[in-house]
Amino acid sequence: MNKRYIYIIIIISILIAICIAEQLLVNGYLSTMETKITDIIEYVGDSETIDTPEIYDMIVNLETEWDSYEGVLCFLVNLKDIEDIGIELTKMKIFIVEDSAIDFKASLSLLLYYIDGYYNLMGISFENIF
Amino acid sequence: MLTLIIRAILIYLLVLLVFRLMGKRQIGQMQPFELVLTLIIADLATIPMPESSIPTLNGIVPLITLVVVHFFLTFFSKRSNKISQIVSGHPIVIINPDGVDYQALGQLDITVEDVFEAIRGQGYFKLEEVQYAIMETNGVVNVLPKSAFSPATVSDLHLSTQENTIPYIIISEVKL
Repeated sequence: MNKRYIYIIIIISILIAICIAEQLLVNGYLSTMETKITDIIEYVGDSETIDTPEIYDMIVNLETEWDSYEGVLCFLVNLKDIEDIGIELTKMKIFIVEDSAIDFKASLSLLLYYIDGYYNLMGISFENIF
Repeated sequence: MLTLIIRAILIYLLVLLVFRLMGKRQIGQMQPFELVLTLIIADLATIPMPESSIPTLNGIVPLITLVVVHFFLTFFSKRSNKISQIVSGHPIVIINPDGVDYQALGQLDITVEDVFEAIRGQGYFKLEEVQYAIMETNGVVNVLPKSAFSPATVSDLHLSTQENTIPYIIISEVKL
């Protein structure tokens, strides 16, 4: 077989592998984040007080997890497009310390909004192509 | 800064590899789709170079995608005249034994001055010396001169000669 055909087959395989890996990683990471944020929302519920070690630990764990995901996602997406979640998580730690329940809950909703936006940003769609 | 240096080297090597994969014609005379590809590759390669937040893959993936597209275009162009004509067009005769074909010039959107400039580039300064002039798909004009104005060859003079051979370099860079 002509060498060039072999190179092209290898290149096509690499492209397919990158696309599949991207879809799996993005969907996996974002759905995990979505699940954890939803769990936090359910845990907080209608509570007026959020200055608890449990909630703080949840946010710290979420932040650590997102940092690791970001490290992988930065190979696939522009860092500036996905830094909002990290910024919001940092703010939330301050909200916990200040016991600002309203701001904290608003940030949780904002996180879900960002994740929804990332699904659209990283997926294939008519809007993304054009 | 080190990141930028590594990215620049990586992307440069990748572009080099891409051009090697595409063949020597890219460096020489190009078909229109090859010229498009060359221009786009240059642009794509520079996108992630100076911007650290943009993943290098954002430059690499479109680059290698275009290599694949180019491969398939070339592949199908070789196997189908129709596709080849759609992709590259076809050569057009601009001068024939009757003279300049003005209809062809209109089709190509060139002037008579352009034609004369092209045949002068081939070494023919008079229209009377040219039998045919053909504009190729890559924009080059090739000229078939009239017999009376063709350069004489060894066979015209009925001379016997030895066949040419390729010279071999025996010593290069002070090495045998």
